Amino acid sequence: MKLTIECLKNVLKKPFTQKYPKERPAIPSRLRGKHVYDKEKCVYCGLCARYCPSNAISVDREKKEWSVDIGKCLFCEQCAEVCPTKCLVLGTEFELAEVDKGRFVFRG
Amino acid sequence: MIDMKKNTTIPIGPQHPALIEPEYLKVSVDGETIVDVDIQLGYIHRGIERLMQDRNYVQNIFVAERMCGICSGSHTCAYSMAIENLIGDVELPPRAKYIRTIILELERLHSHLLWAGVAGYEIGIDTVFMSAWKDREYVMDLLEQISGNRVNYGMSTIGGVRRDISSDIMPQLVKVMDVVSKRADYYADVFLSDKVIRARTEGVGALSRADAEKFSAVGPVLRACGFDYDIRREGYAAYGDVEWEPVVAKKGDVQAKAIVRLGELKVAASIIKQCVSKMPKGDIRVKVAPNISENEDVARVEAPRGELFYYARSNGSDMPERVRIRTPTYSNILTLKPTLIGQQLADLPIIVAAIDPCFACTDRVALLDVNKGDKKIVDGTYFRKIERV
Repeated sequence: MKLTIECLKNVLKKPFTQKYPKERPAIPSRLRGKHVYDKEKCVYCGLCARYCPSNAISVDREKKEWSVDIGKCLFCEQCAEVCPTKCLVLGTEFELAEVDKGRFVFRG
Repeated sequence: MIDMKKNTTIPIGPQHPALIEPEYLKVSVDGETIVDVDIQLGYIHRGIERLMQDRNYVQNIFVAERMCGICSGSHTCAYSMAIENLIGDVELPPRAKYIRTIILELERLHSHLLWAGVAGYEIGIDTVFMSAWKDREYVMDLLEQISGNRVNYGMSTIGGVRRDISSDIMPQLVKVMDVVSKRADYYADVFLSDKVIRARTEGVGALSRADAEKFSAVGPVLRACGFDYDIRREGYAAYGDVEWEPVVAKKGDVQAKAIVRLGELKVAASIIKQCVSKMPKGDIRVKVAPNISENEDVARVEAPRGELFYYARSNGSDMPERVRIRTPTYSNILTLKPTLIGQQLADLPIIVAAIDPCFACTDRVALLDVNKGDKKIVDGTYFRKIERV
C-alpha cells in the first residue's frame, strides 16, 4: 500500500533525472577536469610525472617539453598538489571524448 | 554425499542477467530446491596487489581507491591508515579525522541506498529501486560538492585529507541527513510491512549464528545474525568521539540483513550530524617523508560491506614491498553456501544480492589445475613460502 502511494505521487511529479546534454549540469567548483598548464611558470622539475599513478605525464627538462595523456589520466589531482610553482591545475572541462587516440595527448 | 547424477546442475554465470558482476555459481537442483552450490571466482582478477609494488606510497593511494567503485573512500582510508601505522609516529590533525569520518559515512549512506535499490530490483519491485536510487542522488551530490567527484573522491591521503569541507556545505549536509533519515524510516517500514517484500525476504536465505561464526562473516551479514561486532568500535578516525550504536538483528535472513543496512542509514546520518556540530578547526594534513624504514603493519576499516583489512610491509624505499588486501566480500561470499542450500532457485538472486557482493574487489588468487580441472586448497605456509621468494 505504501509503495502504491509512492508510485501515484511520482506520476504527478516531473522527472528527477537531468536531460543531459540538452540540459547543462551544475558543475561543482572542485571538479577535476582537463589540465590547465602554464608554460611560463613551469620549472620542469618532473615531480608531477613522478607522482602520477598512471604514468600519464612526461616531462623533458632539456627540451623543455611537458605533456599529459588524458586517455591514461585518472584525474586524481596529485600532479597539481605536488607542483612547486602551481603552474598546473585541473580545470572544469570534462567532456573529453575523442575519436582519435592521438588527440588525447595534450602538450603544454 | 549428494548424488550429482540424480540432480540437475545449472550454471549461473560467469555472465548471467541475475548477476551484476561475473562470477560462476554451479548450482545443483532437485526440482526447484537447491541442494548444492559451488562458487568459482577469479573472472575479474586485476592484479592490483602486484601493481602496488611498482608504485610509490602516494601513487598507491589512487591504485587502492580503484579497488572498488562503491567503497573507494574506505579503501583510501584503510590504505592511508596502514601506511600511517607503518611510519609509526603520525599524529593526524583532529579536523582530518572528522572529515574522514564524514566521507566514510556518506559512502555508507550511498552504498546502503544502492543496496536497497538492488534488493528491490531483485525481488521485482522497481518502485523501491527507483526511489532508493533517487534518494541516493542527494548523497552523491554532496560527495561531488565536497570532493569534486561522484566516485573515487580522492580525499584521504597519508597524514590526513586532501580537501577541506567548507563551512558553506555544512547546512546542506545537515539538511540532506534529515531527508535521508526520514527516508530510511520509510524504507524500513516498507521492508517490514509490504506483503510482497515480506514474502520474498522473511525466512529466505537464513544464515545461522553458528555458520556466521564458522565462515567468518563480516559487516551487516554478521550483525544480521545477532553479533554486536563493528570495526568502528575501535575508534579509528573520529568514531571514538561521537555517540553511536551498531544495528543488530537476530534472524540472519534477507529481511534481517535489510533491517541492519536500513538501520545503519539512520546511524550514519546521526554520526554525520554530530561530526558537523563538533567539527574542530585547524590543519587538515601533516607532511610525511616519502621513504619508510623496514616495518610491517595492518589497518582495519568498517567499509559499507564489512571489515576491510590492509596489510603493508615496507623495506626502506619509497615503494611498499607488499600490500595485502582482504575485502569484506571475500569473507561473506563463503556464507552463500549454507544460505543457498535448501532454498528455491528463484530466490537465488536476492540471496546473493543480500550479502552485497563486490566480486571485482574479491578476486585475488585461484589455484586451478587446468589439465585436470582440479582446484587446490593451500594453507598460509604455502603463501608465505611463495611470497618470500
